[in-house]
Amino acid sequence: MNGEKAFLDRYRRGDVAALEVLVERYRRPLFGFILRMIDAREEAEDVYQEVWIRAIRHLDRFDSRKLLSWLFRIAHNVLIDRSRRRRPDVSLQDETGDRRSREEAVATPHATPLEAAAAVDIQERIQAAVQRLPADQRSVFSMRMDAELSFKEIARIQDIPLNTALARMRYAVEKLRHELQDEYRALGK
Amino acid sequence: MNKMDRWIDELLLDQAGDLSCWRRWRLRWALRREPHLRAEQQSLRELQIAVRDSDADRPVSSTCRDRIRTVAEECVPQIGQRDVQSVHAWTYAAAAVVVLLASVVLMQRPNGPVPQTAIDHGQALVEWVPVEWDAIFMELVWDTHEQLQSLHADLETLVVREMDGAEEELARELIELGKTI
Repeated sequence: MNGEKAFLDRYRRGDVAALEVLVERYRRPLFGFILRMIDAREEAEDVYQEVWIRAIRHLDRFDSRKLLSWLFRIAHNVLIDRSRRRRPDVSLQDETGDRRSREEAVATPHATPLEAAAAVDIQERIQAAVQRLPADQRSVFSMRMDAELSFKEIARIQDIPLNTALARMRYAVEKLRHELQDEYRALGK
Repeated sequence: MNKMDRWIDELLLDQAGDLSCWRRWRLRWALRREPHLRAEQQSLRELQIAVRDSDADRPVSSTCRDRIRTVAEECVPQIGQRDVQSVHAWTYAAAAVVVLLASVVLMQRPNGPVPQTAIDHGQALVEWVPVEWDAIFMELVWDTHEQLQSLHADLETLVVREMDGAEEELARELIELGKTI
């Protein structure tokens, strides 16, 4: 748990900076997961914010097991609440602002313009393929890949049987492999 | 679900660290025998690497961070008040167990007398530990924290003075356990 209990104890005693360390530590997997599920940056930030606010307000209910799993559980619930109230996912192509920032982020500084364009293209295609997965498969896939949660944790978070979590992952992997044969071999080398 | 799907599930579980010893061993054995299963494992790894490499780090806006910080600042006094009792209850409970266990270690020493401090702590704790465990601990307030620290300090002094080798190591582990539970 990398000292997260110590940071939480410090926060409970009034040290807000200690909580900020945890917010930053779990930003990448948590925000990455939310972005995969929503793919609209502004809305994803709203969800991310809501997850942390719910967590902070109910910190007394946290049972000291693993903070990241608990945050994912909250995120899962927030996303379900939202999806019941709202429209389906926005497609990747609609998010021109996010798309531009993603291209900037993946372009390597030492690559030639042609190589950079190719790298962006491959990474874009991978991200787009993940984004095209059905939401239930994408959710399991992202929790496993982005946050490195175990399947037992994922099943607990999503309140589904272990075999269902595994089946969703297997379907997701099969689809991605089918769509990305060339790309992942090129990137894996 | 066919046989290959079952093996893929085992590979996925293995990557996630979810496999028991026996199933891990069985998978290793199958991997040695089945080239197509090894290819499957390699393919899963490649996919994992590709997806991770393609995922850029995306920061959140300063507005979002500020909002979280504001809520954290607003909530900290309430959380502190709510948690103080339960934190102390469990820390004190852990300390009680540690002192008792350490006392047992001391009592089992083949040579030398059992230090009076250990007996005193042990007897005092035995009297109230089993009775209404939670209810008693929930009544504790901040000043018991000092009491607890002094208990740990006493115990550490005792360990340094009275123990050596494996005994000391065990007692130190117990003390550390008590501090972290």
